Amino acid sequence: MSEDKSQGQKSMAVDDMLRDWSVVEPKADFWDENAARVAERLESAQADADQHGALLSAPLPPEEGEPFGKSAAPEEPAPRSLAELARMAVEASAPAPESSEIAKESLSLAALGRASAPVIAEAHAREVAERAELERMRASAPPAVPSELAARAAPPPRRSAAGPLAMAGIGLLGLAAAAVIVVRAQRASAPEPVAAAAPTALPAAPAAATQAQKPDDVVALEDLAPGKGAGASPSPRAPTSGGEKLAAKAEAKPEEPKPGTEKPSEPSAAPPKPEEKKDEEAAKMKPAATAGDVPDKPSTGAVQAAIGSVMGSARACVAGQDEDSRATITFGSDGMVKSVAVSGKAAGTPAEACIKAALGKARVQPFARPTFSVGATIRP
Amino acid sequence: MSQKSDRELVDAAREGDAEAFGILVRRHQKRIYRLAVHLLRDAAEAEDVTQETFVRAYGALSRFDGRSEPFTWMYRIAVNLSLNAIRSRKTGRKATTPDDPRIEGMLADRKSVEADPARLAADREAALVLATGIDKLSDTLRTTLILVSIDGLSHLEAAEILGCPEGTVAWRVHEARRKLRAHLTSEGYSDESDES
Repeated sequence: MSEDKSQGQKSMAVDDMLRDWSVVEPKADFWDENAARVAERLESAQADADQHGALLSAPLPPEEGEPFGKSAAPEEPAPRSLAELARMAVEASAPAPESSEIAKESLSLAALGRASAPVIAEAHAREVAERAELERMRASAPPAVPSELAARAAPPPRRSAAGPLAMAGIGLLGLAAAAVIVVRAQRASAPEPVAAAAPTALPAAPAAATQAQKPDDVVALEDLAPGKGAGASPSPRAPTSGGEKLAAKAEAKPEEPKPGTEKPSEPSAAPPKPEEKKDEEAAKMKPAATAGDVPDKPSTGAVQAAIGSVMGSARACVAGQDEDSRATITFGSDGMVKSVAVSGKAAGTPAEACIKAALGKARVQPFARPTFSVGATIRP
Repeated sequence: MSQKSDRELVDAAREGDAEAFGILVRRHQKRIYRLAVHLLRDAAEAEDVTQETFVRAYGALSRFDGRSEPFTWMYRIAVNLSLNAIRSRKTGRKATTPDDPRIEGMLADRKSVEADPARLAADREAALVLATGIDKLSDTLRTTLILVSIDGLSHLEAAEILGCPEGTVAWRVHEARRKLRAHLTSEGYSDESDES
């Protein structure tokens, strides 16, 4: 865990320590007791339903400086059309009917102008609004009233006549805001912001973050064919392997969004076929390998992401077992898994082959060393 | 019955099959407990949260929409319950104490193979430093780090639990590790994982 170096500085393998960090389990019969207590509470109808769904909502607020700062914010409703935004802006202040008509006209003209020239539309909208303002002033000042009184009465209408202008401005602002939201959403779905936001303190980390952004782990999950890895063992999660999971998600997507829940894989709503992804992946890796700037070894983040992406299927292999198993994964310099050694409870059982098949699908970027080994704990 | 997938068990439980839900409890309670211990740093509270997670999950079965895996759904409930428990504590528990259950957990495996008391003491100190570094992180970074680096979940699974994009999970893990590394450095440690 730690060792003294010549300079007196101690070191620790943080990754290994975190990965192997077990907890002292409660007394042996705790699990049976806990299951029994849960059953008792369910039977005695103490299962008070979470009426407000608070426990099902996203648990955490976004971290300061987070590039995708919408994590725990309530899920935005379906994007509104520009016409809806304009209508909302008009209705929000509940102006006089005529001014709302004017504002609507202005907005429709502005919309027309977007197709040709926004400046023209804006000028036109202003002209319409001014004309309406004049008409309103004329209407609000009866001819019988003396000119002085009419002059006194004039300011209030002027104030209310500014409404259409303001409405038109709000409408235009709404349009601009909608455009900004669309552009930001597109940027957020692209992998660059993470890499760009990642500090340079850890040279390998941006690559890891970028890799995590790329659909590499999704590819690995998709690759989990039911008959290959999880299917070889009596896995409880085998039927829900990658393809089915994605299919289920694709089916579920048109449903109404759950408040506070975002769909992480939303940007890749129509993922390419696994073969295409593999080709893309290979194409991405090739230039790195030929460019001569391959790292000495894969970065911590890249290894973590690669193993994390296949750990679910490895876990499915040992589902139902009581003890953890260990696996040592050896990557070749091409980034592919060369060998997997399994020890612990799963060794020598059918689960071993299942684990090897599952972990064998991990991929990292090519690196300079001939091999690179990493240990992993597979917890049931 | 025990070989059924989580989804099949959830479907059965929805139809009133208590035994099916019992299998789900037995299948996932250890993982939920381990997660709760790391989040709460208190074994007794973790036991309560583990039990409460399943009771609440049962109460919300009708709202499980099947878009995520049942275990990630239960994890989300466990995370929410743990964070609620932390918030409802009368006193903040920022300091990491030597009797922290996580420290014992980290040293449990080593005690059986390590006979040298000096070495064990050094290991304990290192574990304490690491735990303190993790506890200094914000709830957001700490929870994400626990899910990915300690519990070994993929970014996709963590994203489903936390309700955020995968890219956000990657960023948070990176940020948490950066802060953790800075803490280790300030305590006179270096991270072997980063040495090439």
